[in-house]
Amino acid sequence: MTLSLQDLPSTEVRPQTSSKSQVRLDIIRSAFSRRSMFRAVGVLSVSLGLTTLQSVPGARPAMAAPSTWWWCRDYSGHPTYSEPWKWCNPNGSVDGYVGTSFCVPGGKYHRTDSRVRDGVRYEYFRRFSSCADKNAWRWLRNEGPNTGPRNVFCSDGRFVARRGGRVIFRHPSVCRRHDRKKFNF
Amino acid sequence: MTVEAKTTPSLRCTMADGSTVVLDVPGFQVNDIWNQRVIVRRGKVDGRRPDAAFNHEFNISPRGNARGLMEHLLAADVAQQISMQGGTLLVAHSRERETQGIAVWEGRWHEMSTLLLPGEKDSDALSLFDGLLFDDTPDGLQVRPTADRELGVMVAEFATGVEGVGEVEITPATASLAAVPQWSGARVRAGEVWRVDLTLDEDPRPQYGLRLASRSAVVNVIPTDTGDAQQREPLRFLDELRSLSWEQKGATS
Repeated sequence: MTLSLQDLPSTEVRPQTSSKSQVRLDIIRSAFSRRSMFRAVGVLSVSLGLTTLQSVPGARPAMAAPSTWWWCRDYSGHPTYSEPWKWCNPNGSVDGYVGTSFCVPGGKYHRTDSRVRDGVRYEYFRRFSSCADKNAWRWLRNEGPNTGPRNVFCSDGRFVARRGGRVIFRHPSVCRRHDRKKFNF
Repeated sequence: MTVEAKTTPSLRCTMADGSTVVLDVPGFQVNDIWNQRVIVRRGKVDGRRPDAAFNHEFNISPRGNARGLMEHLLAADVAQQISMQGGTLLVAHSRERETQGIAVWEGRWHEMSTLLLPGEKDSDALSLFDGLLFDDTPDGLQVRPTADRELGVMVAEFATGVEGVGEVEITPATASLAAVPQWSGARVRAGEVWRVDLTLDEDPRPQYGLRLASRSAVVNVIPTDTGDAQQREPLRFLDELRSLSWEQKGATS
């Protein structure tokens, strides 16, 4: 056992004495040197992709960002949007089972506990990187794509269902809250 | 997919786009039920609308995952069921007015599903699978577009669980470069490791996740308990990780 939490560098705060990440350089070199990558997506799209990732506000690991993120991406033009799912949907689709039952009771973040219902044990996890490397995001009424009647706070997660200790199914899930005053967003 | 220890990797799975994810960590039990997030892009990106507006997201899992959702969470009944490409495509709607439905193609070993808006038409649900060719094998489900040049299949993430550790979410390294700090992480056999601060504004207790980057993949570890005193097994998992890779189809590296 050599790793300890206290000794690990943070993803958000650069240590006072630090060297460049070698694995990061390897990833960049690999992206530009692999023939299959060029065949698959082309030089231009790789370059644009890497550049874009670096320029997304809040996606920069060096940024000491708050734990909430209000603008993930702009999906206002999605043709299949329908109320109310769009507000808690960073991936531009209807995937993710959305609802308040996935929230910490009385809180605005995705729950991380477990509970048993009808003989099935549900374990909940809070994903921390799904929305521009953040867990949560908010849509404020009349800001960005939210032209709906309410402000919305979303926190991303996943649940795992077990019976007799064995995993029987699993799926992404999203906690959604509406009351801005009550939940402070 | 195979789940074995000792001489073979803990996990090797063929992704929808033909790429392969390998996780080799002896002594840990990797769940054999997993989620693969797949994005199908339809139409030509025109710059006038967000790229994501052309996307629809699906979940690929071992067969039976969607049936569990239908039975235990969605309270859904099957409305349409048709045979398609050696499998079955079915559409199910919830008996509860505001709960999502689900459409799923079930193959022999795996399935590809997407949740539906409440009340979504069956014809619209079925059309989400238009132009997709399925090749299901024990190693994984590959999904290819037909000759339509304006249809693309991309894999965004592979997620599963490790007993005693928590959830692991794996992404291709090039797509996750922004999540890899510019400064060095702690060096382990499989790559470099950082801690991710997950402390919340509504709960001041320190909470952490872990991130490891290898040359071809990034893995986020979401511990079963994110408290700072509960990280022993997640840290041991990353320390013991022999290799983590996400190799593109036909890669020569």
